[in-house]
Amino acid sequence: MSTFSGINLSSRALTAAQRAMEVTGQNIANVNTEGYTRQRLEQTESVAGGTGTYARRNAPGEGVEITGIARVSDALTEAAARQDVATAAEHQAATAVWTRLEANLGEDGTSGLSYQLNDMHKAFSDLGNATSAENVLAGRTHALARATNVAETAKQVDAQVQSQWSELGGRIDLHTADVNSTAEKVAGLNAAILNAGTTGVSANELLDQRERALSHLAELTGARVVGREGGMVDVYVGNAAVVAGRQSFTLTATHGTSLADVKAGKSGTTLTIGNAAVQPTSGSLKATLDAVNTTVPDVSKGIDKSVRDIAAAVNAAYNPGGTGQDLFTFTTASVNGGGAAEQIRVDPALTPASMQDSTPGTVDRARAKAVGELSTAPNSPTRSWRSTVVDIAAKTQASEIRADLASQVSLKSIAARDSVSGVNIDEEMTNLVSYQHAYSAAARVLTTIDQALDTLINRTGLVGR
Amino acid sequence: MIGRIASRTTAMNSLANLQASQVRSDRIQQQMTSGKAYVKLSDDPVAANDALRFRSEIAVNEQYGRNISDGQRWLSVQEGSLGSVTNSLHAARDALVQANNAAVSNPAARGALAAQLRSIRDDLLAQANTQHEGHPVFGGTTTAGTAVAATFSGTTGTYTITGDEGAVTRRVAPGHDVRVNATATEVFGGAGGAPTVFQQLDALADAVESGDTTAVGAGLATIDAARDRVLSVRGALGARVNQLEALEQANAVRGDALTGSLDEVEGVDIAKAMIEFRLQDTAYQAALATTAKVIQPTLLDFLR
Repeated sequence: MSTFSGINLSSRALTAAQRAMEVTGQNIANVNTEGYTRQRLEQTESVAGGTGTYARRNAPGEGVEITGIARVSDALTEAAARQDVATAAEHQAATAVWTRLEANLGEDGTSGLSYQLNDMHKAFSDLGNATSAENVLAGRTHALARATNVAETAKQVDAQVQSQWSELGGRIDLHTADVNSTAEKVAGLNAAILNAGTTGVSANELLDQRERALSHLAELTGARVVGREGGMVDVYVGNAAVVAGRQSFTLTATHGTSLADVKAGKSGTTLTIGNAAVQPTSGSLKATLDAVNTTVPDVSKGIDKSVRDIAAAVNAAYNPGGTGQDLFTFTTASVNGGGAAEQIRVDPALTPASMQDSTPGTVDRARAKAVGELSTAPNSPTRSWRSTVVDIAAKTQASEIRADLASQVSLKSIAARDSVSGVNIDEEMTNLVSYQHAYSAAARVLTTIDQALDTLINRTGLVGR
Repeated sequence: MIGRIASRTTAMNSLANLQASQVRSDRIQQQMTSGKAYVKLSDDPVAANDALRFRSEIAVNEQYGRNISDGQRWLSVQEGSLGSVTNSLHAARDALVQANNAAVSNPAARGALAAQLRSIRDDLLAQANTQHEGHPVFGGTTTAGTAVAATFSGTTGTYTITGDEGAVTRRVAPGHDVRVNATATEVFGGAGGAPTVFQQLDALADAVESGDTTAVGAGLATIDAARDRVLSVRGALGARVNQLEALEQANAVRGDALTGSLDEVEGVDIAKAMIEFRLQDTAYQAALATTAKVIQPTLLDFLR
């Protein structure tokens, strides 16, 4: 034990206490930083050196030694939080798609296709009651106008659905670009973390940033994280790697050609990395991909079928036996290769003069009456359309409930993760007080030793003074 | 069990709960201002289905109401016409009774009676071709403009029934059609080649003029038969008028019931909504107060 080893001991204590206060300061500074993981100073006792002939007896240790700054995190809760956030994002995106689909139907009870159908039946019934030439002409004009309204409304619904489909395609592009830029960031951070590890620099901040990027990737694609050497990670979307160590791969989206082709099963939107197909397991990209390939085409097919049923029922009443002129026909010229809902129209050859509203050879207006009475028939157009609308409404409600539940679950997971790695100000305050006391006490030790040495140096050997 | 709470967790949870509370308040407020129990269909798909169905049924019921009114108009026109026909036939009978009096052998008097009969025949012809909304009301479903066409050579006419036997019906209840017309042959005869009342009147006028008392005597029975025919048609039409009246009542009652059901399904109970709103408001304020208390103090406030 050297004379000045006490001073060395104190200086180490002071350094440790000061470093600890800095770490606490860092935690407090980042209390509101999203995804920040609190840090803790790790210190251990300094072992008294010397073996063999240099072993000292009855000498205390040499103070405190800083072994590092630890990042308090739990990989399991982090992974769980990532997954739950991904699920919540997926269901939220799906609900947004369904809500928009429901809005596209335009059914609020006082307008929309069901209202137009009721109006059409009314107009044809009134035509059925008309007798004088003037009334008949007016009745026919009115009935044709209402039928045209029905066709126009169906076309409008279809146009909205098609535009929603295109918009979703654009959104896939945005998400894909997002995935690519985030993957690059992760790869860059991987490289930085590897460097920091080899040079001994604290990589805690880099790890936090990478965790945020990984969380974002999970939110988009439900990505899976696998650790590798040097503190780096690999990120997998489905079974394809989008980040492997320091290298990132580009995700490409190939779009379906049109909604009509997707409905016919002739094309679809796919994601690829290189030549390998990628299927995200969760996240908003998966929800949007599903919407573009399945949800929206299925709803569009349902609407098409409903429109075809409506046209068939009306034509069966207006043109029994199918020998004459149908009321509703379908153009073959389709702008977007659309289905029945886009192609339906009142046959252009029909005018008030050429309308065949009675059994041929009479003026009994039986056919007009038949169209008017369709709403009470078992295959009535209103019933067919109503079931389509309610089906979509029910699916939207189910999706909303799922999204609500998923968001609750994700909140709980994030709280669990934060309970391990989040900053609690009270705790930091307490630590700060402890370290401050430690600093003061170490300073007092230094002063004491200093005074003792002072006595030794300046007072020893002075006799008679 | 979470043993440790990070500061951010408290803030995040409070925020999430306040947001959820606000969403609920907003929903109730939308209900009260719009008067509808659901804002979009997915809020309550079952109620939405019912509402759409009720709307369609209300439209159908309204159409039945309009059909009933239209039918009643048809029947009232025919009723008026047939009333006038009955009066004319009574006048014809009186003239015949007069002519049957054997003491009337004055050719001038006989000529006057014959002229009267012929003018009654013209009245009946006019009634037969009564128009309703531009269509001969006794013409069935014909496209011709008249129910009975007449050409005269001198004082005798040839009568062709240009109307057909088509029934004009109105759908007044599900699957229930009511016939609202009577055809010319039903009222004025002429079915299957039998003589029409106009031909009979022509024959009788000639008989009166020529003083054929046997024919005139037999004519009374003919006129009686014609009058009975008209009366039976009037009876049938009258029954249908009653039927339509009853249906009109039923239709109005059903319309009210359907509107009530629609309101029940779609409309919001204002009293209930107001109570919910008060409860929700109280809960929200309590949440705000608690959040303020919990979020603020840290150890910082108590350390020197």
